Amino acid sequence: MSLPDRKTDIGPPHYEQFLHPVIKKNFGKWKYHEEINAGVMVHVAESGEKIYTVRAATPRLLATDTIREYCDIAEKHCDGYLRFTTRNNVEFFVDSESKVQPLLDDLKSKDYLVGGIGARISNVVHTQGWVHCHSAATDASGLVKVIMDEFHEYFSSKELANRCRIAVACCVNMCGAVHCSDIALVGVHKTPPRIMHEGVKNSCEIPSTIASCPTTAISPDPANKSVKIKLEKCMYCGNCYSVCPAMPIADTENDGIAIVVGGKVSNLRKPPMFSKLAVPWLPNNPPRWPEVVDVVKIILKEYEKGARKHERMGEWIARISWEKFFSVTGLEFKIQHIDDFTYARETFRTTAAFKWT
Amino acid sequence: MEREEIKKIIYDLVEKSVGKKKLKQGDILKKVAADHGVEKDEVKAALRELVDAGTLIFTYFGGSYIEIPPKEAV
Amino acid sequence: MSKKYDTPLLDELKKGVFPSFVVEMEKAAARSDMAADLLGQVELSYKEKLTHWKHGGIVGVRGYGSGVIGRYSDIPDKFPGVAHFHTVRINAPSGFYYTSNALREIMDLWDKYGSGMTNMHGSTGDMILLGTRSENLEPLFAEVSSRGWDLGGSGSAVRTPSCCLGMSRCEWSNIDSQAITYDITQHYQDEMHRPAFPYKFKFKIAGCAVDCIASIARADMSVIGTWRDKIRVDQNEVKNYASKMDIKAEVVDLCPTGCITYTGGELTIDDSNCSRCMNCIARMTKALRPGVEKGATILLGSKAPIVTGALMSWVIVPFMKMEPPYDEFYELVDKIWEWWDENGKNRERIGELIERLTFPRFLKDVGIEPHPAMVKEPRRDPFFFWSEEDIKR
Repeated sequence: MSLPDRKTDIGPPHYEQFLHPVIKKNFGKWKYHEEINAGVMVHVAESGEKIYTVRAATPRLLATDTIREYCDIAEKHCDGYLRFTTRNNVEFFVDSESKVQPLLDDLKSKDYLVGGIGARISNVVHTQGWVHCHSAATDASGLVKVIMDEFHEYFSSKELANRCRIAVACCVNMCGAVHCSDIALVGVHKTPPRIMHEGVKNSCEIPSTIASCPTTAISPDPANKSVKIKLEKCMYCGNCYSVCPAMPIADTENDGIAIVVGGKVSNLRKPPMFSKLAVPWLPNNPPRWPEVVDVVKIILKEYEKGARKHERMGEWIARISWEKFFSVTGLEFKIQHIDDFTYARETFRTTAAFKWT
Repeated sequence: MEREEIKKIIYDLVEKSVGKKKLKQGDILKKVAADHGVEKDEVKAALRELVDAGTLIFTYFGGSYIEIPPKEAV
Repeated sequence: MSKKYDTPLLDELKKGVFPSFVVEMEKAAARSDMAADLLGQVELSYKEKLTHWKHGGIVGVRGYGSGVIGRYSDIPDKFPGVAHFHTVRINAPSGFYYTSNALREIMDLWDKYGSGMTNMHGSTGDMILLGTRSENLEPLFAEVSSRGWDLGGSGSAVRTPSCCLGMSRCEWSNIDSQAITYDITQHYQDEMHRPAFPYKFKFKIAGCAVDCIASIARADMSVIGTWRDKIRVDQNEVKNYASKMDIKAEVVDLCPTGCITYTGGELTIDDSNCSRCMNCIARMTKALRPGVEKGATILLGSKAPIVTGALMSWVIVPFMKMEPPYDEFYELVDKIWEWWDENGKNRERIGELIERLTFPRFLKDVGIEPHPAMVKEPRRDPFFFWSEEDIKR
């Protein structure tokens, strides 16, 4: 069987051909939208036309079968049109209110988790983990699953003070940049890489391996035609392993999960914020990571209890103060919480005004 | 300079750096343009022909490089 | 096909309300040996708490240095189905819109040439086809490219640009983020497919400062839609909101610049003091709309923490009209890349390079005038440089 001629540099197909006719017709002419419930919103155009969006969670890692099932649903209810969101949800469109309930019923009959709209927990942005990554310190899909199993009601119904964006990164490379999330789980190492001298000699470029270290902990080891590590300078980022595979850093006993909180990317009210360290290490305990789930539960509960309407996690913490955050959550403040890296100086308290906790 | 001549210069440069320093496309464009007084775009076009023919390939090791394909892949 | 391996640990992740990735792997495993062995290998990772993937290798399609991520199992004897398990990145359409026909076409090809596993979508915004063998790459590429699809970016190249859904279904979008993304993608096909940079370069285009695409946190160049004139106020709709919400508490008091007043049922905005954060518009979307003189703020430099700490993008051009053919934009990008190419070290992102060589030096070299919008505050130290023309000789 002969193959068709390959083409190069044609770029993606133009998006316009994939737009629902109502969306195409009212492109750039939307007037307002309303969130009808956790899983349904309506956008109203200046023309008066409406498009209803129904959103459901996906695990992101999808078999072609499931994508075909989404296609079946889109064909049955939406003339074949659908889209995905940046947070791995699938969205179906219908052009009249009467079509919403049959679509919802169909999704419900197939056990879809409908929701994610509004002041809730949307789906979790995450990395590949053990499913496909060579530098994963933990799995990502599994952590997402156990977190969302625990908090699914905040996806499909219950409201919070504002959106709560959760992300999972299986190592500190943080593909997908989870570092500005309300809550992020990050796979971390606690021990330096091991040096496989034979491998370094044969398969690594010594200068770029040395250059990869942000703390200048790596230096040449001419005797072995390899490198050595000043152990006290290493902060276990694993960047050398990215450049030189003969410096494995995975350590099954000591790798674990850090939790960072209080970040956001939107500019509403307060500028975007980085997430900051809440818990430096929790055990990597698959398949259901109970220790991690428990801590996220505590943080979320306190946020739910303490935040004022429209406050994101970071805004709530900024108002009550970080010292108060540690006291209300009962999370232990450790030496690891005090920054000793690039931006350390900016984080030291330069006022005598702080709260007793 | 003839296209074939530039191609030879590029190939020799990559061959000479084997085992010493992996070259990025940018390194090659800069070096050949500077050493031989050719426009970067010309070097780029020559390099593209080499890559399209499979004489040289892109590789990835924490960054993207231009290398001679490994023997077993030829 | 009966189950190839027992997976007691992964079976625990089939329980619960949220859709299960394990169920997805099982679906594909029923048809594909590759997916069956994936399931087996991931179960082993769960048992050992250790990944079993090796570093990327030398795979790709002819002529490209992008779009395929080489992936090999480190225990291929045990799991031959994933001895090769390469990723193919397909450049997704702007805004992630699809028709069922288009998706079915790709899925059929993927079942023919790969594991049947996908990500919708990868973090950067590609459609990810997860797991195939080296010899399948060329035939798959011929099939998808002949049907109008192309590969996305990877390595030290322009990464697949991505955007929010923009004007297609959002009343707040100040720029046509999809059109801009499509245009950038087409404009830089060579830079995307044939890596020539010191390191990766990401574009993300957001229609407004809500930034649903998280451009400010994860794009080397963030383009964020904004406006220069006044927020449009519909006082009748303000009255309707008054019965549903506490306008003072949720809008006036939460305005970060204190530029909104609400008296006698009338909402007044002092636009000259508005920083366009979007809070009031998001709260009262029927009553308040962005102005009509629209464009974008261009920010530069964000990245994840590897290696010297995370950066958020910061302002380099406070306002740029973003209209076709985008000459001013491309001119700026090309100048920035030239400077990066000239000065950047291997694996140095643009944000890190600016930090190393300083922001003032970047502005001078690239020819951008300083503007107070670029900084949160002026410097606090007295150690500034002068140019030759500032000195009396």
